[in-house]
Amino acid sequence: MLKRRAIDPTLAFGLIFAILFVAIAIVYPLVRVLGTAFEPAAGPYFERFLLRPTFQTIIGRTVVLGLTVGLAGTLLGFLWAFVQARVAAPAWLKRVLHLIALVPSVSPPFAVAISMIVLFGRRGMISYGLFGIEGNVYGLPGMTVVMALSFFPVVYLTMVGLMRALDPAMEEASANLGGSKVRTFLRVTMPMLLPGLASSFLLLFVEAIADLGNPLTIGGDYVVLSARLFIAISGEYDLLAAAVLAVILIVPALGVYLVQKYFADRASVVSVTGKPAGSVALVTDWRVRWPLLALNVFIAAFIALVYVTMIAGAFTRLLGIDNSFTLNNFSYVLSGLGSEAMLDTTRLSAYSTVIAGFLGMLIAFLVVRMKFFGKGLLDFGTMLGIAVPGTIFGIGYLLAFNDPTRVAGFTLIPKLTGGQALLAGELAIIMVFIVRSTPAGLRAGVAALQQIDPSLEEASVSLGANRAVTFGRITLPLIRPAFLSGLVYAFARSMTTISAVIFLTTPETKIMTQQIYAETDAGRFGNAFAYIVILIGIVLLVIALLQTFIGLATGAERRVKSEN
Amino acid sequence: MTKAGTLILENVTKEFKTPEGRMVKAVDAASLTIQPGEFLTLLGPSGCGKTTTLRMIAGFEFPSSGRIVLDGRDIAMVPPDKREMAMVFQSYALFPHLTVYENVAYGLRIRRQSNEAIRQKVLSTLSMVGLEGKERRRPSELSGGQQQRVALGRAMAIEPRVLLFDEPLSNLDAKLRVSLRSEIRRLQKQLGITSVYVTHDQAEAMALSDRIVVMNAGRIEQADTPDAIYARPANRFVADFIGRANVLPVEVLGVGAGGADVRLAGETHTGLPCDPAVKAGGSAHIVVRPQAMQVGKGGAGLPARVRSATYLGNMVEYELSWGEHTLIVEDYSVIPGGALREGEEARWTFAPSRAYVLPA
Ligand SMILES: Nc1ncnc2c1ncn2[C@@H]1O[C@H](COP(=O)(O)OP(=O)(O)O)[C@@H](O)[C@H]1O
Ligand SMILES: [Mg+2]
Repeated sequence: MLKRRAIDPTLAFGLIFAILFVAIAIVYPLVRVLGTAFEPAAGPYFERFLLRPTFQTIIGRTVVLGLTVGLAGTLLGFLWAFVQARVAAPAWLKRVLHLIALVPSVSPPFAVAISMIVLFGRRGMISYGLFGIEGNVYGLPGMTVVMALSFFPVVYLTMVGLMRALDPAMEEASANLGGSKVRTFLRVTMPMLLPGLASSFLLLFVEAIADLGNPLTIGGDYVVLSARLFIAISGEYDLLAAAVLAVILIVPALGVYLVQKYFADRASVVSVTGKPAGSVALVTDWRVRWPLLALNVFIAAFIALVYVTMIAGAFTRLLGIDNSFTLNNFSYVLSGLGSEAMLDTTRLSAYSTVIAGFLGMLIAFLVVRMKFFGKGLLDFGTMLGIAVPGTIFGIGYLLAFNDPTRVAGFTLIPKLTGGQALLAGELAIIMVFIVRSTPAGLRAGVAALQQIDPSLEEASVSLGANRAVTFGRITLPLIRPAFLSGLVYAFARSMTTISAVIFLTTPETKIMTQQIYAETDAGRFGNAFAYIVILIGIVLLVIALLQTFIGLATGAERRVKSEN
Repeated sequence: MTKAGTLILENVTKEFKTPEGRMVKAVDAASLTIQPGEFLTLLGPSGCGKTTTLRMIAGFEFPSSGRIVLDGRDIAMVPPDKREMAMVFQSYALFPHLTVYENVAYGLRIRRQSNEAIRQKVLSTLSMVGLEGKERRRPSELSGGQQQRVALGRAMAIEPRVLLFDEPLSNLDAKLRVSLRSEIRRLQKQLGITSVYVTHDQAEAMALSDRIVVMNAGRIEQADTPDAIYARPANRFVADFIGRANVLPVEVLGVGAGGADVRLAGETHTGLPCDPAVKAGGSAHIVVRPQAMQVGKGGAGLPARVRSATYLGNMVEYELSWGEHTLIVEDYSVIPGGALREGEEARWTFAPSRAYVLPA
C-alpha cells in the first residue's frame, strides 16, 4: 500500500489554523446561540416572541424596514450607476459624484443618523432653524433614508460594474432592428441587469435587518429585532431571550443571504459572457438627462451636507443650539478621556486587519487550489461571518466565552468577554473584527486566484519552492490587488462596526463606535462628531498608507493568465 | 555537468473520480525505464493519459498504485519540490511580476546559492538559450518564442535530474515550433539531461526523441525508437496513429527466417517482415505505408477504383476504393499529366519488404 499523500507542513499548519479559527470564532458561538435557544427553558420565549401581538409587530417592522431600505438603496445605487455609466455628463462631475458615493463606506453607518438628528430633528438646524418645524426623524422614514444613504455604495459599485461589462453590441443589435431607445433599455438592457438588481435588493435587506447602530440612534419607537435584542442583553440581562430573538433574526437574514448569493452568481455570469467591444452611446436626450443629473446632484449635495455637518459639529459646542467654535471636542477625543477608545480601536483594528488580510488570502488559496475534505464547509463557514448579523455574534460570544471553556478540568479556552476577561476582552474583539472582515477578502482572493493559471504555482514548486514559499513569492504578489482590497476593507470594517462589538467592550477596552453611540445618547453631539471625523480621518490615512506600501497594480496582473 | 537521472515507472496506475462519482483510469499499469540522458516522448491522442503520467513523474499527482523510482529511490509519494526535476509548461508559466533574470534565478534563489553564483549561472543560461541582453525585461515584453526560451532556461538553470515538458511548443506558430524543437534537442544533448516530453504531434516526437512511448486510453501501446515505431508498429493502433497506414487482412501461409508469406485476396506475397507473435496458418493484418504502395493503369495487382487524385507537386495522392476498403497511395513516380483520374479503374500492389505483418 502507498502512504497517504504528504501535505506540505506549512500548508497543513495554515489549513489547521483556518479550520480552528472558523470552528472557534464563528461556528462555536453560533452553535451556542442555537443550543441556548433550543433549551427547554426557551420554549415559552418562542411562544411569547412569535405569538404575542407586540412581538409580531417587531418582526413585521423588521421585515418592512428590510423592504424599504432594500428598495430605496437599490434605486439610489441604480441611479448613481446609471448616471456614471450611461448619462453624458462632464468628467469632473462624474468624478465628484463617484467620490461622494464612497464616503459612507469609510464612516460608521450610523454617523449619517446622528447628522440627520442634528439637521432635521426636533431642534434641527434645517427643520427648526430654517423652517421653525419640530422635525421628527425617528422611526421608519428616518431609518430608511439613513440606511439607504449608508448602504447604497455597494449597490452602486456592483451595478456600475455590471453596466460597464454589458456588451454594447447587444443594444446596437436591438437598435438596428428598429427598437426605440426606451424599448431597447427595457427589453434588452434591464433583463440583463435584473439579477444584479435582485441581488442588491436582497443584500440591502439583510444589511438593514442586521444593522444595530441606526435602530439604536434613530429608530425611536420603531423597535426592530436587532434593537430588541440589544435591549434584552443590555437592559434586561436576559441571554435566553436574546438567544431566541437571535434565532428569529437569523432565519430571514441567512435565508435571504443565500438567495442573494444565488442571484449574485447569476449576475456575474452575465458580466463575463461578452467581451465588450466598442462603447455605449451615452444618453444625451435632455428629457432623460436633466432630471437624472439633477436628482443625482441633489442627493449628492445632501450627502455632502450630512458630512459637512459632522465636521462643523465637531468644531462647535452644540450645533444648532450653541454654534460657538471650540476645539474641546477634539481634545476630548485626542488627548482627553476619549483618547483611550480611539487608540484601542485603532490598535485592535490594525491587528485584525493584518490577520484578516492574510487569513482571507489563505482560505481563498486553500479553497481554490487544494483538494481536501470539507472544503466547501470551510468556505461557507467563513462566509457566515458576514451572512449572520453582527448582533448574533455579539450574543454568541457572550454565551460562548463569558466563562472559560473547560474540558475534564483543563481550561481549553479562557474567559474572553466581560470583566476579568483575557487581555481585558481585547482578544474577543479582535476575533469578532476578523470574523466580520475576512469574508470580503476571501471573495476577492477567490476571484483573483481563479484568474491565475495554476501552472505558475506548479512551475515554482517544480523549481524547488514548497507550497508555502510559493504562496509567499508567487501567489501573494500576483493577487496583490485582492490582498490590498481585503486589507482596506478589513480596516474600514473593523473601525466602523458596532453591532457585534458593542456587546464585547469591557470597562478597560472601549471602542470608538460604542463611544460615539454613548455620546450621542447623552446628547453630547460635539464629542460624537469629533469621534466620527477622527475615525474617518484614521481610516482614510490607513488606506493611503496601505496603498503606498502594498502598492497598486504593477501591470503584471494583466498578464497573469498566460494566454492559451 | 548535470547528474542525469535514471527514471523507472513500475506498474503506475492513476485513477480519478469523475464528478458523477465513477472511477476512471487515466493511466493504467504503465511501466517504463528511462536511461540517463535519454530523450523520451510520450505520444498519443488527447486524453490518453500523457499529462497525467508526466504530472505523476513531476509529483503534482500521486499514483493510485505503482512505483516511480529515480536513481534507486522510490519517489512516488515525494512532494514535487523535493524531486530535483523541472517542468516546462505549455503556457510557459513565467512569473509575470519578475524580470527575465529573476525568473531564471528563481530556482537558484530557492536553493540559496550566492548572488555571484546565481549571476554567473543566469547569464550563461540566458546566453545558451539566446536571450543575452534581455535580463531586465518582463515576460510580457517578450514574444511567445522568447518566453518559452526563458521557461526552458529557468528549468535548465537548476540542473535538474529530469527535465519535463508538457506540450511546450503547441502555443507557437508552425515555423517557430520547428526551430525551437531543434534547439531543445541540441541543448538537451549538450547538457545530457534525462528528458520526458509530452506531445500529440508525431512529427515533433519523431524529430526530438531517442525513444517514443505511444499511449492509448491510459495504456502504453509501444515504447521504441522512432524508426522502429514507424516501421514495426506493435499493433493496429500504433500503425494507425503513427503516420498513415493501410491495414489489410491477410492469411498467414508460413513464417520463416526470411519473414512471413501471406495471402491477400488470393495473391501470395512472400518475405514480409513480421511481428514475432504472428503464427503460420492463421489470419493477420499487414500494415502498408502509402509510399510503399504502387498503382498503375494496368499490369499486375488487384483492381480498384480511383476515388480521388490530388496532385501535390512532389507526388500524387490517391484514394482507392477496393471492396469495402479505402486505400491511400502516395505516388512519387508519376510524371505530370500522366496521373490516374477520378473514377478510373486502376491496379495496385505493394513492396513486400516495406510492409509489416501484425497478429490479428
Ligand atoms: N484531475 C482530474 N480529475 C478527473 N479526471 C482527470 C483529471 N486529470 C485528467 N483526467 C482524465 O484523465 C484522462 C487523461 O487525461 P490527460 O492525462 O490530461 O490526457 P492527455 O494529456 O493525454 O491529453 C482524461 O480522460 C481526463 O479527463
Ligand atoms: Mg495533456
